[in-house]
Amino acid sequence: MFTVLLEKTVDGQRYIDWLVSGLGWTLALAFFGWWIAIAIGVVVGIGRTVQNPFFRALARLYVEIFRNIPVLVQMFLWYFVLPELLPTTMGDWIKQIPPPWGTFFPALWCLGLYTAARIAEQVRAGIEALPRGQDEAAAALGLSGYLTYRHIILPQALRLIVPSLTSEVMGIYKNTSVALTIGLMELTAQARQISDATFQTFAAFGAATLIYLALALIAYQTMMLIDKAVRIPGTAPGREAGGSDFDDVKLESSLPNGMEVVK
Amino acid sequence: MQQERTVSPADPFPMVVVEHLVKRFGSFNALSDVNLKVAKGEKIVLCGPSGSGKSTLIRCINHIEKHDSGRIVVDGTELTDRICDVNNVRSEVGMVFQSFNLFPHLSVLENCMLAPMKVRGLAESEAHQRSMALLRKVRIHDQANKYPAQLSGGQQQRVAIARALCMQPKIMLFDEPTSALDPEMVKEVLETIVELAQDGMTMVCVTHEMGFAREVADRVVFMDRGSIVEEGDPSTFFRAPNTERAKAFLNQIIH
Repeated sequence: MFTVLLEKTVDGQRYIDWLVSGLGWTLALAFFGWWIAIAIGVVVGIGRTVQNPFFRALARLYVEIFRNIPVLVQMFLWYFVLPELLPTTMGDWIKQIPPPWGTFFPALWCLGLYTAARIAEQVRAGIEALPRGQDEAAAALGLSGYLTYRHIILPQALRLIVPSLTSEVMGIYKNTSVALTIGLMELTAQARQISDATFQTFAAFGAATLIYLALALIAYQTMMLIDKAVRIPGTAPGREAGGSDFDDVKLESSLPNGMEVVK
Repeated sequence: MQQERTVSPADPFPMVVVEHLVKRFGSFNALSDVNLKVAKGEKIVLCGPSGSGKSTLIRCINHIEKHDSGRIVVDGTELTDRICDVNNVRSEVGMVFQSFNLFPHLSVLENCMLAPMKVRGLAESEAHQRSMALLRKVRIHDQANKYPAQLSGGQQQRVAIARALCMQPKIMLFDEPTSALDPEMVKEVLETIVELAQDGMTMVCVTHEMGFAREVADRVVFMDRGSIVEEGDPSTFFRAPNTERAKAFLNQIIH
Protein backbone atom coordinates (compact mmCIF):
# COMPACT_ATOMS: atom_id res chain seq x y z
CA MET A 1 0.00 0.00 0.00
CA PHE A 2 3.00 2.25 0.45
CA THR A 3 4.17 1.63 -3.12
CA VAL A 4 2.96 5.10 -4.04
CA LEU A 5 5.90 6.43 -2.05
CA LEU A 6 8.30 5.00 -4.59
CA GLU A 7 6.61 6.71 -7.54
CA LYS A 8 8.21 9.69 -9.24
CA THR A 9 7.05 13.15 -8.33
CA VAL A 10 6.63 16.02 -10.73
CA ASP A 11 10.05 17.36 -9.75
CA GLY A 12 11.79 14.08 -10.60
CA GLN A 13 12.25 12.84 -7.03
CA ARG A 14 10.32 10.06 -5.40
CA TYR A 15 7.62 10.78 -2.83
CA ILE A 16 9.65 9.00 -0.21
CA ASP A 17 12.36 11.61 -0.69
CA TRP A 18 9.83 14.24 0.33
CA LEU A 19 9.12 12.27 3.49
CA VAL A 20 12.83 11.91 4.26
CA SER A 21 13.35 15.62 3.76
CA GLY A 22 10.41 16.31 6.07
CA LEU A 23 11.83 13.91 8.63
CA GLY A 24 15.12 15.81 8.48
CA TRP A 25 13.42 19.10 9.33
CA THR A 26 11.41 17.46 12.08
CA LEU A 27 14.54 15.99 13.64
CA ALA A 28 16.51 19.22 13.31
CA LEU A 29 13.70 21.17 14.93
CA ALA A 30 13.31 18.69 17.79
CA PHE A 31 17.04 18.23 18.37
CA PHE A 32 18.14 21.85 18.44
CA GLY A 33 14.90 22.93 20.11
CA TRP A 34 15.59 20.41 22.83
CA TRP A 35 18.95 21.91 23.71
CA ILE A 36 17.48 25.40 23.82
CA ALA A 37 14.71 24.06 26.03
CA ILE A 38 17.06 22.27 28.42
CA ALA A 39 19.40 25.24 28.76
CA ILE A 40 16.65 27.76 29.42
CA GLY A 41 14.48 25.30 31.34
CA VAL A 42 17.18 24.50 33.87
CA VAL A 43 17.98 28.16 34.43
CA VAL A 44 14.33 29.12 34.82
CA GLY A 45 13.65 26.08 37.00
CA ILE A 46 16.46 27.12 39.33
CA GLY A 47 15.08 30.64 39.28
CA ARG A 48 11.77 29.30 40.57
CA THR A 49 13.49 27.99 43.69
CA VAL A 50 16.01 30.68 44.65
CA GLN A 51 15.60 32.95 47.68
CA ASN A 52 15.67 36.20 45.72
CA PRO A 53 12.02 37.23 45.16
CA PHE A 54 12.85 39.17 41.99
CA PHE A 55 14.33 36.18 40.17
CA ARG A 56 11.59 33.96 41.49
CA ALA A 57 8.93 36.28 40.10
CA LEU A 58 10.75 36.57 36.78
CA ALA A 59 10.98 32.80 36.43
CA ARG A 60 7.34 32.43 37.39
CA LEU A 61 6.36 35.00 34.77
CA TYR A 62 8.31 33.13 32.10
CA VAL A 63 6.66 29.83 32.94
CA GLU A 64 3.15 31.26 33.09
CA ILE A 65 3.49 33.00 29.76
CA PHE A 66 5.12 30.27 27.73
CA ARG A 67 3.29 27.34 29.25
CA ASN A 68 -0.18 28.80 29.09
CA ILE A 69 -0.35 30.10 25.54
CA PRO A 70 -1.23 27.39 23.00
CA VAL A 71 1.82 26.37 21.06
CA LEU A 72 0.02 27.13 17.78
CA VAL A 73 -0.65 30.70 18.88
CA GLN A 74 2.98 31.04 19.96
CA MET A 75 4.04 29.83 16.52
CA PHE A 76 1.98 32.59 14.90
CA LEU A 77 3.29 35.17 17.36
CA TRP A 78 6.91 34.41 16.52
CA TYR A 79 6.32 34.19 12.80
CA PHE A 80 3.69 36.82 12.00
CA VAL A 81 3.61 39.20 14.94
CA LEU A 82 7.22 39.55 16.05
CA PRO A 83 8.50 41.13 12.79
CA GLU A 84 5.72 43.73 13.04
CA LEU A 85 6.61 44.62 16.63
CA LEU A 86 10.28 45.14 15.91
CA PRO A 87 11.67 48.32 14.33
CA THR A 88 10.91 48.35 10.61
CA THR A 89 14.43 47.64 9.37
CA MET A 90 14.83 44.69 11.68
CA GLY A 91 11.36 43.39 10.87
CA ASP A 92 12.05 43.63 7.17
CA TRP A 93 15.34 41.86 7.60
CA ILE A 94 13.59 38.99 9.37
CA LYS A 95 10.91 38.77 6.68
CA GLN A 96 13.59 38.52 4.01
CA ILE A 97 15.37 35.54 5.52
CA PRO A 98 15.15 33.03 2.67
CA PRO A 99 13.07 29.88 3.06
CA PRO A 100 13.24 27.44 4.66
CA TRP A 101 15.26 29.32 7.30
CA GLY A 102 12.69 32.08 7.50
CA THR A 103 10.24 29.57 8.95
CA PHE A 104 12.73 27.24 10.61
CA PHE A 105 14.11 29.75 13.09
CA PRO A 106 10.76 31.07 14.36
CA ALA A 107 9.61 27.47 14.75
CA LEU A 108 12.83 26.57 16.56
CA TRP A 109 12.49 29.48 18.99
CA CYS A 110 8.85 28.78 19.53
CA LEU A 111 9.30 25.11 20.38
CA GLY A 112 12.45 25.72 22.42
CA LEU A 113 10.93 28.42 24.59
CA TYR A 114 7.62 26.61 25.01
CA THR A 115 9.29 23.35 26.01
CA ALA A 116 11.68 25.26 28.28
CA ALA A 117 8.73 26.46 30.35
CA ARG A 118 7.56 22.88 30.79
CA ILE A 119 11.05 21.64 31.63
CA ALA A 120 11.44 24.48 34.13
CA GLU A 121 8.47 23.13 36.05
CA GLN A 122 9.97 19.65 36.06
CA VAL A 123 13.29 21.03 37.30
CA ARG A 124 11.52 22.97 40.02
CA ALA A 125 9.61 19.87 41.10
CA GLY A 126 12.86 17.88 41.13
CA ILE A 127 14.60 20.46 43.29
CA GLU A 128 11.67 20.70 45.68
CA ALA A 129 11.51 16.93 46.00
CA LEU A 130 14.96 16.78 47.57
CA PRO A 131 15.05 16.46 51.34
CA ARG A 132 15.70 19.72 53.25
CA GLY A 133 18.64 17.97 54.89
CA GLN A 134 20.64 18.18 51.67
CA ASP A 135 20.55 21.98 51.72
CA GLU A 136 21.33 22.01 55.41
CA ALA A 137 24.25 19.63 55.13
CA ALA A 138 25.72 21.68 52.29
CA ALA A 139 25.22 24.89 54.26
CA ALA A 140 26.77 23.34 57.36
CA LEU A 141 29.89 22.57 55.33
CA GLY A 142 30.16 26.20 54.32
CA LEU A 143 29.12 25.70 50.69
CA SER A 144 27.74 28.86 49.11
CA GLY A 145 24.38 28.93 47.37
CA TYR A 146 26.02 28.58 43.97
CA LEU A 147 28.18 25.62 45.04
CA THR A 148 25.19 23.96 46.66
CA TYR A 149 23.14 24.15 43.47
CA ARG A 150 26.07 23.16 41.29
CA HIS A 151 27.30 20.15 43.25
CA ILE A 152 24.43 19.01 45.46
CA ILE A 153 21.01 20.14 44.26
CA LEU A 154 21.19 19.98 40.47
CA PRO A 155 22.95 16.63 40.09
CA GLN A 156 20.28 15.04 42.23
CA ALA A 157 17.29 16.96 40.88
CA LEU A 158 18.20 16.29 37.25
CA ARG A 159 18.60 12.57 37.92
CA LEU A 160 15.23 12.57 39.61
CA ILE A 161 13.43 14.08 36.63
CA VAL A 162 14.89 11.96 33.82
CA PRO A 163 11.75 9.77 33.68
CA SER A 164 9.43 12.76 33.47
CA LEU A 165 11.66 14.47 30.90
CA THR A 166 10.94 11.52 28.62
CA SER A 167 7.49 12.90 27.93
CA GLU A 168 8.99 16.31 27.22
CA VAL A 169 11.33 14.80 24.63
CA MET A 170 8.34 13.12 23.01
CA GLY A 171 6.37 16.33 23.35
CA ILE A 172 8.84 18.53 21.53
CA TYR A 173 9.16 16.33 18.49
CA LYS A 174 5.42 15.82 18.24
CA ASN A 175 4.92 19.57 18.51
CA THR A 176 7.24 20.07 15.54
CA SER A 177 4.21 19.25 13.39
CA VAL A 178 2.73 22.61 14.39
CA ALA A 179 5.49 24.24 12.31
CA LEU A 180 3.60 23.26 9.17
CA THR A 181 1.16 26.08 9.93
CA ILE A 182 3.86 28.66 9.23
CA GLY A 183 5.00 26.81 6.13
CA LEU A 184 7.94 24.70 7.26
CA MET A 185 7.98 21.52 5.18
CA GLU A 186 8.48 19.09 8.03
CA LEU A 187 7.18 15.55 8.18
CA THR A 188 3.47 16.26 8.52
CA ALA A 189 3.58 18.98 5.87
CA GLN A 190 5.31 16.61 3.46
CA ALA A 191 2.75 13.92 4.19
CA ARG A 192 0.00 16.36 3.35
CA GLN A 193 1.80 17.40 0.19
CA ILE A 194 2.05 13.77 -0.91
CA SER A 195 -1.58 13.24 -0.07
CA ASP A 196 -2.55 16.29 -2.13
CA ALA A 197 -0.43 15.20 -5.07
CA THR A 198 -1.43 11.55 -5.14
CA PHE A 199 -4.78 11.40 -3.34
CA GLN A 200 -3.29 8.46 -1.43
CA THR A 201 -4.17 9.96 1.92
CA PHE A 202 -3.92 6.73 3.82
CA ALA A 203 -0.46 5.86 2.51
CA ALA A 204 0.90 9.36 3.06
CA PHE A 205 -0.30 9.84 6.60
CA GLY A 206 0.18 6.16 7.44
CA ALA A 207 3.85 6.46 6.62
CA ALA A 208 4.17 9.65 8.63
CA THR A 209 2.41 7.97 11.56
CA LEU A 210 4.80 5.02 11.52
CA ILE A 211 7.78 7.35 11.45
CA TYR A 212 6.42 9.33 14.42
CA LEU A 213 5.83 6.10 16.32
CA ALA A 214 9.35 4.89 15.61
CA LEU A 215 10.76 8.19 16.82
CA ALA A 216 8.75 7.94 20.03
CA LEU A 217 10.13 4.48 20.65
CA ILE A 218 13.68 5.63 20.06
CA ALA A 219 13.23 8.61 22.35
CA TYR A 220 11.76 6.42 25.06
CA GLN A 221 14.53 3.84 24.86
CA THR A 222 17.21 6.53 24.86
CA MET A 223 15.77 8.13 27.97
CA MET A 224 15.59 4.73 29.69
CA LEU A 225 19.26 4.19 28.90
CA ILE A 226 20.15 7.61 30.27
CA ASP A 227 18.10 6.94 33.40
CA LYS A 228 19.96 3.69 33.92
CA ALA A 229 23.36 5.25 33.22
CA VAL A 230 22.99 8.03 35.77
CA ARG A 231 21.33 5.97 38.47
CA ILE A 232 23.03 6.32 41.83
CA PRO A 233 24.61 3.04 42.95
CA GLY A 234 22.71 1.41 45.77
CA THR A 235 19.36 2.95 44.92
CA ALA A 236 16.84 0.45 43.71
CA PRO A 237 15.54 0.72 40.13
CA GLY A 238 12.06 2.12 39.84
CA ARG A 239 12.32 3.94 43.12
CA GLU A 240 12.80 7.65 42.92
CA ALA A 241 16.50 8.02 43.46
CA GLY A 242 18.16 10.42 45.81
CA GLY A 243 17.41 11.14 49.39
CA SER A 244 14.31 8.99 49.69
CA ASP A 245 16.37 6.26 51.28
CA PHE A 246 17.31 8.57 54.08
CA ASP A 247 13.75 9.51 54.76
CA ASP A 248 12.92 5.85 55.08
CA VAL A 249 15.69 5.33 57.57
CA LYS A 250 14.55 8.30 59.54
CA LEU A 251 10.92 7.33 59.54
CA GLU A 252 11.51 3.73 60.42
CA SER A 253 13.89 4.17 63.27
CA SER A 254 13.50 7.62 64.74
CA LEU A 255 9.87 7.11 65.57
CA PRO A 256 10.32 4.28 68.07
CA ASN A 257 13.23 6.12 69.65
CA GLY A 258 11.27 9.30 69.93
CA MET A 259 8.44 7.44 71.55
CA GLU A 260 10.76 5.89 74.07
CA VAL A 261 11.73 9.34 75.23
CA VAL A 262 8.17 10.49 75.52
CA LYS A 263 7.02 7.45 77.43
CA MET B 1 22.15 30.97 90.89
CA GLN B 2 22.84 27.56 89.45
CA GLN B 3 23.49 28.85 85.98
CA GLU B 4 26.11 31.36 87.11
CA ARG B 5 28.02 28.89 89.20
CA THR B 6 28.46 26.24 86.57
CA VAL B 7 29.42 28.38 83.61
CA SER B 8 32.88 27.17 82.73
CA PRO B 9 35.87 28.81 84.36
CA ALA B 10 36.66 32.28 83.09
CA ASP B 11 37.89 31.85 79.55
CA PRO B 12 38.86 35.03 77.75
CA PHE B 13 38.22 33.48 74.32
CA PRO B 14 35.33 31.08 74.51
CA MET B 15 34.62 29.09 71.36
CA VAL B 16 30.94 29.91 71.37
CA VAL B 17 29.08 32.67 73.16
CA VAL B 18 25.31 32.72 73.04
CA GLU B 19 23.65 35.70 74.68
CA HIS B 20 19.96 36.41 75.16
CA LEU B 21 19.10 34.26 72.19
CA VAL B 22 15.50 34.34 71.04
CA LYS B 23 14.07 32.25 68.22
CA ARG B 24 10.44 32.14 67.26
CA PHE B 25 8.61 29.94 64.81
CA GLY B 26 5.53 32.02 64.12
CA SER B 27 4.04 32.66 67.52
CA PHE B 28 5.86 29.73 69.11
CA ASN B 29 8.87 30.64 71.21
CA ALA B 30 11.40 27.97 70.34
CA LEU B 31 14.13 29.70 72.33
CA SER B 32 13.60 32.44 74.87
CA ASP B 33 16.59 34.26 76.32
CA VAL B 34 19.14 31.45 76.12
CA ASN B 35 22.66 32.11 77.40
CA LEU B 36 25.47 29.65 76.88
CA LYS B 37 29.24 29.74 76.74
CA VAL B 38 31.32 26.94 75.36
CA ALA B 39 35.01 27.01 76.20
CA LYS B 40 37.71 25.64 73.90
CA GLY B 41 37.92 21.91 74.32
CA GLU B 42 34.75 21.72 76.34
CA LYS B 43 32.22 18.96 75.70
CA ILE B 44 28.64 19.84 76.36
CA VAL B 45 25.67 17.53 76.25
CA LEU B 46 22.32 19.17 75.63
CA CYS B 47 19.32 17.23 76.78
CA GLY B 48 15.68 17.82 77.45
CA PRO B 49 12.27 16.70 76.32
CA SER B 50 11.37 16.90 72.66
CA GLY B 51 10.37 20.39 71.62
CA SER B 52 12.54 21.93 74.31
CA GLY B 53 14.68 23.81 71.78
CA LYS B 54 17.94 21.86 71.99
CA SER B 55 18.14 21.15 68.27
CA THR B 56 17.07 24.68 67.47
CA LEU B 57 19.85 26.01 69.67
CA ILE B 58 22.62 24.14 67.91
CA ARG B 59 21.09 24.85 64.52
CA CYS B 60 21.27 28.54 65.40
CA ILE B 61 24.95 28.21 66.26
CA ASN B 62 25.81 27.63 62.62
CA HIS B 63 22.95 29.73 61.35
CA ILE B 64 20.94 26.98 59.75
CA GLU B 65 18.16 28.64 61.69
CA LYS B 66 18.28 32.43 61.82
CA HIS B 67 17.79 33.76 65.32
CA ASP B 68 15.38 36.61 65.97
CA SER B 69 17.36 38.48 68.60
CA GLY B 70 20.35 38.10 70.85
CA ARG B 71 23.96 37.45 69.91
CA ILE B 72 25.87 34.42 68.76
CA VAL B 73 29.65 34.68 68.56
CA VAL B 74 31.57 31.71 67.19
CA ASP B 75 35.34 31.85 67.65
CA GLY B 76 35.29 35.63 67.69
CA THR B 77 32.99 36.10 64.69
CA GLU B 78 29.53 37.36 65.40
CA LEU B 79 26.79 35.75 63.33
CA THR B 80 24.95 38.42 61.45
CA ASP B 81 23.03 38.19 58.25
CA ARG B 82 26.11 38.96 56.22
CA ILE B 83 26.60 35.97 54.01
CA CYS B 84 30.40 35.91 54.18
CA ASP B 85 30.33 35.83 57.98
CA VAL B 86 27.85 33.01 57.90
CA ASN B 87 29.84 30.92 55.44
CA ASN B 88 33.07 31.60 57.35
CA VAL B 89 31.53 30.47 60.59
CA ARG B 90 29.93 27.44 59.00
CA SER B 91 33.19 26.25 57.57
CA GLU B 92 34.68 26.33 61.08
CA VAL B 93 31.75 24.53 62.64
CA GLY B 94 31.20 20.86 61.88
CA MET B 95 27.68 19.55 62.07
CA VAL B 96 26.36 16.01 62.25
CA PHE B 97 22.66 15.48 61.67
CA GLN B 98 20.18 12.98 62.99
CA SER B 99 19.41 11.75 59.49
CA PHE B 100 23.06 11.80 58.32
CA ASN B 101 22.31 13.94 55.25
CA LEU B 102 25.10 12.47 53.18
CA PHE B 103 25.01 13.44 49.52
CA PRO B 104 23.59 10.28 47.93
CA HIS B 105 24.94 10.97 44.44
CA LEU B 106 28.55 11.21 45.64
CA SER B 107 30.74 8.37 46.84
CA VAL B 108 31.87 8.30 50.44
CA LEU B 109 35.20 9.75 49.42
CA GLU B 110 33.61 12.47 47.27
CA ASN B 111 31.31 13.39 50.14
CA CYS B 112 34.40 14.08 52.22
CA MET B 113 36.44 15.80 49.52
CA LEU B 114 33.82 18.20 48.17
CA ALA B 115 33.84 20.95 50.77
CA PRO B 116 37.61 20.98 51.41
CA MET B 117 38.18 21.43 47.67
CA LYS B 118 35.37 23.84 46.87
CA VAL B 119 35.27 25.89 50.07
CA ARG B 120 38.84 25.65 51.34
CA GLY B 121 40.42 25.45 47.89
CA LEU B 122 42.48 22.35 48.67
CA ALA B 123 44.15 20.54 45.80
CA GLU B 124 42.56 17.22 44.90
CA SER B 125 45.50 15.17 46.11
CA GLU B 126 45.55 16.95 49.43
CA ALA B 127 41.79 16.63 49.90
CA HIS B 128 42.04 12.95 49.00
CA GLN B 129 44.77 12.37 51.53
CA ARG B 130 42.95 14.20 54.28
CA SER B 131 39.67 12.43 53.54
CA MET B 132 41.26 8.99 53.54
CA ALA B 133 43.03 9.74 56.83
CA LEU B 134 39.76 10.76 58.48
CA LEU B 135 37.82 7.88 56.98
CA ARG B 136 40.48 5.62 58.47
CA LYS B 137 40.00 7.35 61.79
CA VAL B 138 36.30 6.50 61.76
CA ARG B 139 37.24 3.03 60.47
CA ILE B 140 35.38 3.18 57.20
CA HIS B 141 38.23 3.75 54.74
CA ASP B 142 37.62 0.37 53.08
CA GLN B 143 34.19 1.66 51.95
CA ALA B 144 35.55 4.89 50.48
CA ASN B 145 34.33 4.21 46.95
CA LYS B 146 30.86 3.04 47.90
CA TYR B 147 27.80 5.24 47.79
CA PRO B 148 25.81 6.21 50.89
CA ALA B 149 22.83 4.02 49.98
CA GLN B 150 25.15 1.01 50.04
CA LEU B 151 26.10 1.56 53.69
CA SER B 152 24.33 0.83 56.96
CA GLY B 153 23.00 3.69 59.05
CA GLY B 154 25.89 3.48 61.49
CA GLN B 155 28.41 3.54 58.66
CA GLN B 156 26.66 6.49 57.07
CA GLN B 157 26.76 8.43 60.30
CA ARG B 158 30.47 7.74 60.70
CA VAL B 159 31.02 8.99 57.15
CA ALA B 160 29.05 12.10 58.09
CA ILE B 161 31.38 12.62 61.04
CA ALA B 162 34.44 12.18 58.83
CA ARG B 163 32.95 14.57 56.27
CA ALA B 164 32.52 17.25 58.92
CA LEU B 165 36.03 16.64 60.25
CA CYS B 166 37.53 17.10 56.78
CA MET B 167 36.88 20.81 57.11
CA GLN B 168 39.06 20.76 60.25
CA PRO B 169 36.36 22.46 62.30
CA LYS B 170 37.07 24.13 65.60
CA ILE B 171 33.87 22.83 67.10
CA MET B 172 31.56 19.95 66.31
CA LEU B 173 27.80 20.07 66.74
CA PHE B 174 25.90 16.81 66.97
CA ASP B 175 22.13 16.88 66.54
CA GLU B 176 20.88 13.60 67.99
CA PRO B 177 23.49 11.64 66.06
CA THR B 178 22.22 8.23 67.12
CA SER B 179 18.45 8.75 67.17
CA ALA B 180 17.90 7.51 63.64
CA LEU B 181 20.02 4.41 64.11
CA ASP B 182 19.09 0.83 64.81
CA PRO B 183 20.09 -0.05 68.36
CA GLU B 184 23.01 -2.26 67.35
CA MET B 185 24.60 0.62 65.45
CA VAL B 186 24.40 3.20 68.18
CA LYS B 187 27.53 1.92 69.86
CA GLU B 188 29.86 2.22 66.87
CA VAL B 189 28.83 5.83 66.34
CA LEU B 190 29.10 6.76 70.00
CA GLU B 191 32.54 5.20 70.19
CA THR B 192 33.63 7.36 67.28
CA ILE B 193 32.36 10.47 69.03
CA VAL B 194 34.02 9.47 72.30
CA GLU B 195 37.34 9.10 70.49
CA LEU B 196 36.86 12.52 69.01
CA ALA B 197 36.19 13.92 72.46
CA GLN B 198 39.37 12.30 73.75
CA ASP B 199 41.31 14.08 71.01
CA GLY B 200 40.22 17.34 72.60
CA MET B 201 37.58 18.45 70.09
CA THR B 202 35.17 21.08 71.37
CA MET B 203 31.69 19.69 71.01
CA VAL B 204 28.06 20.32 71.69
CA CYS B 205 25.96 17.20 71.46
CA VAL B 206 22.21 16.86 71.63
CA THR B 207 21.56 13.33 72.80
CA HIS B 208 19.51 11.17 75.09
CA GLU B 209 22.31 8.65 75.50
CA MET B 210 22.92 9.23 79.17
CA GLY B 211 25.75 6.73 79.44
CA PHE B 212 27.55 8.67 76.74
CA ALA B 213 26.82 11.94 78.51
CA ARG B 214 28.33 10.63 81.73
CA GLU B 215 31.43 9.44 79.92
CA VAL B 216 32.35 12.47 77.83
CA ALA B 217 30.45 15.54 78.97
CA ASP B 218 32.16 18.26 80.95
CA ARG B 219 28.78 19.83 81.42
CA VAL B 220 25.21 18.73 80.92
CA VAL B 221 22.78 21.44 79.90
CA PHE B 222 19.13 20.66 80.46
CA MET B 223 16.58 22.56 78.43
CA ASP B 224 12.83 22.72 78.65
CA ARG B 225 10.34 24.89 76.79
CA GLY B 226 12.93 26.99 75.05
CA SER B 227 15.18 27.89 77.93
CA ILE B 228 18.06 26.43 79.86
CA VAL B 229 16.60 25.15 83.10
CA GLU B 230 19.63 23.63 84.70
CA GLU B 231 23.25 22.87 83.99
CA GLY B 232 25.94 21.08 85.85
CA ASP B 233 28.61 18.43 85.67
CA PRO B 234 27.17 15.09 84.64
CA SER B 235 27.65 13.22 87.88
CA THR B 236 25.81 15.86 89.90
CA PHE B 237 23.14 16.36 87.30
CA PHE B 238 22.26 12.70 86.95
CA ARG B 239 22.50 11.90 90.66
CA ALA B 240 20.82 14.93 92.11
CA PRO B 241 19.19 17.31 89.66
CA ASN B 242 18.16 20.59 91.22
CA THR B 243 14.94 21.29 89.45
CA GLU B 244 11.69 19.37 89.40
CA ARG B 245 11.55 19.48 85.63
CA ALA B 246 14.96 17.87 85.30
CA LYS B 247 13.97 15.23 87.86
CA ALA B 248 10.81 14.46 85.94
CA PHE B 249 12.75 14.23 82.68
CA LEU B 250 15.40 11.92 84.12
CA ASN B 251 12.74 9.70 85.62
CA GLN B 252 11.29 9.26 82.20
CA ILE B 253 14.45 8.31 80.40
CA ILE B 254 16.20 6.29 83.10
CA HIS B 255 14.27 3.27 84.20
